[in-house]
Amino acid sequence: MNTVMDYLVCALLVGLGATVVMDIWGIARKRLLGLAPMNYGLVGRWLAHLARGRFRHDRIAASPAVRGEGLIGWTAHYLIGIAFAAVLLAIWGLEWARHPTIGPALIVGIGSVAAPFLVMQPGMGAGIAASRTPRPSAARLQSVVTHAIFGLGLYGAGWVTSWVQS
Amino acid sequence: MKSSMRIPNRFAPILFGALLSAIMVAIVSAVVLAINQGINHGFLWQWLRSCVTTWPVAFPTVTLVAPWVRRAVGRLTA
Repeated sequence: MNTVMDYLVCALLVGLGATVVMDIWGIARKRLLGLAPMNYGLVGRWLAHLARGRFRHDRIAASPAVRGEGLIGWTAHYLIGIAFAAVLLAIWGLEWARHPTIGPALIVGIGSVAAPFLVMQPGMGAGIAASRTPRPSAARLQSVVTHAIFGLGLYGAGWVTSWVQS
Repeated sequence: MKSSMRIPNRFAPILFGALLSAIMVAIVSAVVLAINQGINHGFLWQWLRSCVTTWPVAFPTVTLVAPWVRRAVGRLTA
């Protein structure tokens, strides 16, 4: 029971912290590169349609808006961040949260780009790994960089968690 | 608030239960821990653990009990 609770608290702290870092990067990216931040409302719209049995959209922005899609998208964004932290801790154990190392954090962080590449982007009409967007390689690079930042966030949040535990 | 951030009314009782129980659990756990062990450097970790352990009990309790409490209060007040 204690180990389960430790695992849950670690996953929560590491996942929330890393997702906050990812969002700060989104804001910084807008200032530095002028790129629009991720629209999680569209993710919420996609999820709401998914719950009603529709996976594939030709263009999610053209699909009917859903009430509360912003809240759904942002909540899902943070829950998915926590889920990836849980994956990291499931593979490398609670010991990682006591002495975090950067390798596992980057593997899970960069590996997590598989979720948008293979699930969200094709479902939302952007194609596998953004292949149906006007500039697929630029979009891919942005996704990989953002998820690498999430990986660094996992590492940083891991350190904060190890400090809180001590 | 932006309309995309507002969920339908029918979820209000669940949201009410989630927020009320989270606030209660956070405050009560902190007070109980502080009284029992004092505020030492493991406090924050113990507190988070207590919250994660007790919230799954508090949330359904509040959500299930709230309508009954409302009815009882309705009968007892004029």
